[in-house]
Amino acid sequence: MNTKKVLEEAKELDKKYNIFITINENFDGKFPLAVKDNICTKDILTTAGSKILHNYYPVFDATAIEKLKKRGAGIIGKTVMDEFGFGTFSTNCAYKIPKNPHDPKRCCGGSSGGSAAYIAASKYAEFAIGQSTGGSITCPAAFCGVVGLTPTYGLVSRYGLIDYANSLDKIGVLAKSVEKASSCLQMIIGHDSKDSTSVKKKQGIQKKKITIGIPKEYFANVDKRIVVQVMKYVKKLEKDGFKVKKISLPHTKYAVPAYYIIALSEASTNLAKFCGLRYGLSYSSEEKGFNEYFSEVRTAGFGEEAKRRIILGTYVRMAGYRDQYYLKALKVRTLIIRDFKEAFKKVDVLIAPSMPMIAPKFSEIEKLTSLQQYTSDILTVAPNLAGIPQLSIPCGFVDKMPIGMQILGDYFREDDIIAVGKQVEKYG
Amino acid sequence: MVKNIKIGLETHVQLNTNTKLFCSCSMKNISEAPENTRCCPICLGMPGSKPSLNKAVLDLAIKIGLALDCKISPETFFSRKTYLYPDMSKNFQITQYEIPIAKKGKLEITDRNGKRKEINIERINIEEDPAKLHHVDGDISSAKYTLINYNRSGIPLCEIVTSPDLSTPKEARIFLKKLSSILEYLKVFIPGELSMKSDVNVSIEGGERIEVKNVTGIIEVEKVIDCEIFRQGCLLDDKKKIERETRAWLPESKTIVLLRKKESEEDYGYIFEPDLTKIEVSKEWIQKIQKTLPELAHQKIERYQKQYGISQELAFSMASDLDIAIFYEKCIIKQDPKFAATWIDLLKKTLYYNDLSIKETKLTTEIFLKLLDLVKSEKVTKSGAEMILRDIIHSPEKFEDIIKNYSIIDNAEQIVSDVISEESKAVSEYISGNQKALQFLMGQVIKKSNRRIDAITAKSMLEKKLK
Repeated sequence: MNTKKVLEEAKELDKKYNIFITINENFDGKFPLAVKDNICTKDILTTAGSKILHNYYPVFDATAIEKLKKRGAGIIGKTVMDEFGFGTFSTNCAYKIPKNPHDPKRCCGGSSGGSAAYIAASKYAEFAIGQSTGGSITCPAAFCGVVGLTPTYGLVSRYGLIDYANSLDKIGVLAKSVEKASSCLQMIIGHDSKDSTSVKKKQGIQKKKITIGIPKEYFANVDKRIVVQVMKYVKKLEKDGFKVKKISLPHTKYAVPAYYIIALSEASTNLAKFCGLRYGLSYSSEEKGFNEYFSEVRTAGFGEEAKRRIILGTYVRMAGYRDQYYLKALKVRTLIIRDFKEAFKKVDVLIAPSMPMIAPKFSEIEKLTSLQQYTSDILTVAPNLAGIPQLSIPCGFVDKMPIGMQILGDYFREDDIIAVGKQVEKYG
Repeated sequence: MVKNIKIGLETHVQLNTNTKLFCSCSMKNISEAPENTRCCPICLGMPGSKPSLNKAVLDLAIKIGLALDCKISPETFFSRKTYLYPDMSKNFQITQYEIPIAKKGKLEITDRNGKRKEINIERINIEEDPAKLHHVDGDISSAKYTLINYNRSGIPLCEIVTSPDLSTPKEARIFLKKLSSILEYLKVFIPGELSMKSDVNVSIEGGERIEVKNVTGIIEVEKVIDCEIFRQGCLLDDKKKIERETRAWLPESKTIVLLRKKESEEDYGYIFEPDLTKIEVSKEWIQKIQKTLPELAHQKIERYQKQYGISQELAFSMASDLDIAIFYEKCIIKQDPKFAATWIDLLKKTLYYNDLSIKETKLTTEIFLKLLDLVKSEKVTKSGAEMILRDIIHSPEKFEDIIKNYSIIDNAEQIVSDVISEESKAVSEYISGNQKALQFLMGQVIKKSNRRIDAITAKSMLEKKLK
């Protein structure tokens, strides 16, 4: 591999599309690896897309990074993301906002926007590391026209991932093809004693005939052109011998509020540690009480969306509200898990659009309220709440912009969604 | 007059484990380790680090739960308690909230008069210790700056919460002493090396509950409660309201200060700790721990009385300190249990007087048993043996030399004869029937023998000579 050329390309793409927070000048390795900036890389600036970590150089590599380095990965850079993953469009960024390589007036999707844009635009990189809490791999994969693979929760160690919502966070892959996504995933899976929620993959038996479920709730409130396009692909699959069934996931409508309550509750506690005491942004603390000092650092270090999410997340877990929001949301999560479990008794995979719209223009995003932004996650939050594996794969264009369809599998049935994904890829 | 005092204790005990609660930092001699040399990304709360549970802590907590007659939860988990404070590396503490590892236990206390009382244990939690703050040149409000030592961050703590069943400061002291002894017996806690702190809740009739946080030491707890009862009583006397508030004990200045009032009570916004999984505690696991439970102090007290026929007071004395109990049980393999208990009680008092523990003296049971043999075979007198005790706790290796000064001597006859010839006046008074004169002569014999002749021997020898 010509490291010089890869480095040059990265710089050029960054100039065009704002892909990297950090480009690694000392880049070297068998293949280039771009890593979302909320994953710790030893001695390489890791900010999680936030000003509050503008000078943070981790002392250790995340387990996934350690594994990839052993396979020859050279870190080309750390990619732009919404601050701490707080966003759907990669527009809540502290440093720069990535532009969609298909149309620079449009967003990349979020929050793993930089990683998706890099894969979409690079000649050299075949896969990059992203991370999803509520759809942060599927969304930018769909908007940028690349493959996004979000594994079952726990399949990849989270050690070294700067937490957004620990019970939802998953490290995953953005790739040029299903094959490449799958081979990258193979490099990073496995139980890790440093992450108690990580598991050893149970070996599934390869299904001979895969039945596809079409969840009706995932086609309402979606751009009709996208629905048509996705159904075209489903028809092709049906023609090629896949059985297709209509399915209902009745609790889908509660997924967005439940997701935001759980994710923000956890996020508001995770962000408490950033207070200018041991790392990150700091000021002179002379003549200040610690409360005053913490407030000063946090006021300056966090962006508006981070502050909004801390406030919301704190509110829903306070005495008097905890029962009606936080605990209720956990119950809803159980119902959503049950929905999927019931569905997977009838079918092997589910197919739905990845996102309800094509990548919006920055000018359109500006007009959206927070609530409107949150509801664009309608198709991705439920699978993330359940922690099932998700594969987003390009399936044609609308308005010259790529669209994606997502293939959802049962727990640890990555092989099922990969098999269907490879078939879809053949249709071009 | 203060009425209806209710006292509840929340006692935090640092647990004796090889490594910390959520990381592999060594706990060995951690109190003596130089500042910030026992910490890693996990105890420092570095971004990306995650806790992983040290299972040994669960074993110890279950052990404590069983020793305190608690129900062990079949399933338990951890929660995040959020509050921003500079001693907390993550600004939240991983603790237990909804379902603690153990609950609904009891501990019976007995005062010196033998009165028994059952104190209910509400719950036992596992949680992490925060870092230690060192306020330089002052206390928390006046210090110029504060240093943080993260060695303590992540040390496993067991929180033992009682119901408000204690009604006097003395009861609280007796309770904590007993609790401390049990924890020491279980080898889950090392007094002196690991710390034990209590949050003390005190209420009196007509007032609300006052919490005093962070009281170190058993004597201090007793003092704090005494002060609180007095302070609250004065408020009532002045017709003032006692409102719910949290106070803090400052060990540097030995004062209690107001921390916060009711209206500014913390809201911790508990959520489940998402980095740790639920823990299922199987019956087999509990049984396995049950088998490792040693005989506890109160069990020993009962057994000593029943099996060896010693008094309750002596049994209490033998069992209340584990090292003494071990010493006693070793001695009675070769010695009469009643006789040994009496002398070990005496040894304890001598040690106490010299501010020594049995561990600190190098006195072995072998040497101690030699001494008891000398007393039994009347080669030393009782008072002589007491003198020997005082010497050998300092230098047991000189035992052979020390006993030479106190053992009964061959020239006893000579001493008695000398006294008779020297004290002719008393002798004649005795012969004419004055018993008091015999007492005087006995005293002279004991004195002249350097306590190597005891009163009984002196008496019988004098009587024989003057018959």
